[in-house]
Amino acid sequence: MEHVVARRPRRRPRVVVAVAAGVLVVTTAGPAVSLYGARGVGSAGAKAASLHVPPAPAIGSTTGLALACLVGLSWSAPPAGEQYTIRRTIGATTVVVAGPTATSGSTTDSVLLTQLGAGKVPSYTTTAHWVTAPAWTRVSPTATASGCLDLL
Amino acid sequence: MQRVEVPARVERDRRRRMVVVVFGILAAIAIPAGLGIALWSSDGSGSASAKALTAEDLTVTAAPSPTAALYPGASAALQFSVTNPNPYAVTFTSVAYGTVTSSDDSNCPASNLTPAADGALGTPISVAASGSSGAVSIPSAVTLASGAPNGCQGVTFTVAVTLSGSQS
Repeated sequence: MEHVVARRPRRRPRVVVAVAAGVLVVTTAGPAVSLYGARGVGSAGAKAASLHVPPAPAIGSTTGLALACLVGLSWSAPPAGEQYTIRRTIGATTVVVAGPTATSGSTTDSVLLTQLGAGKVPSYTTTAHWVTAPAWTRVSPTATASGCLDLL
Repeated sequence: MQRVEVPARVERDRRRRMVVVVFGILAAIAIPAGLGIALWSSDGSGSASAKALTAEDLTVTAAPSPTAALYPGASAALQFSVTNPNPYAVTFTSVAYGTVTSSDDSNCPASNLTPAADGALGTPISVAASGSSGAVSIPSAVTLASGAPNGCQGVTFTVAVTLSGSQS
């Protein structure tokens, strides 16, 4: 039995075909598209948040005990993410009575009668601040425990 | 097994046929294309004129009531809208920030707000031809200083911006 083995043709024809295909692709490609550049000019805005003004603590009662005036105080729960601090001011002196707290609550504040006098009445405020940014605060209107003056 | 060599002449003929076939294909495709180009270039006579329009800058306008999202140490979005006077749509892909102003510079100086670095937008902003973008924003574009004073509460900041992009 006779086998006829032909020599493989050289690769040059394949190279020719590949080059021709490349030429075709380049030839049939469309013209380059040129787009206008664009620019937008002006301003944009951003705003800082602000705390709501908290309510003043509620003064429930003022009673005398020996040489002190007992002031019953209560406050509502602050909004989520905020805390309240309850402060008492007599004249130029301010002290923290309760807080900071994220819940509603109540307490009794004891004020020495010797601290009181003409123009010196205990007054209370609620200070609100964010838990995550305590530097910013907002203070409520003032609630005055004028009943303590009746004990003098 | 016996090898039979194909004569050189037969091999040459085969190559020639292949080359002829390849150039035949090339001609079949290139000739109609050439005709097409010829039609474009030779069609019509006389003269006509058309003028390319001049691209106009788009207007960026700060949101009248931006969302109050800044607090000490926090980042927030810059909010605005873009108006396009051009008769083609535009897509912006980068932004550059300029001067910052504060609505209450005495209680909250503008230096408390720091814009992000200039650069590519995370999400391109598209504006329709002769239209408006509506409300758009660039997230985390500005940061309020961690030591920003209490007087910064509720303050509105305005930042100059330049958007860059192209016709789309």
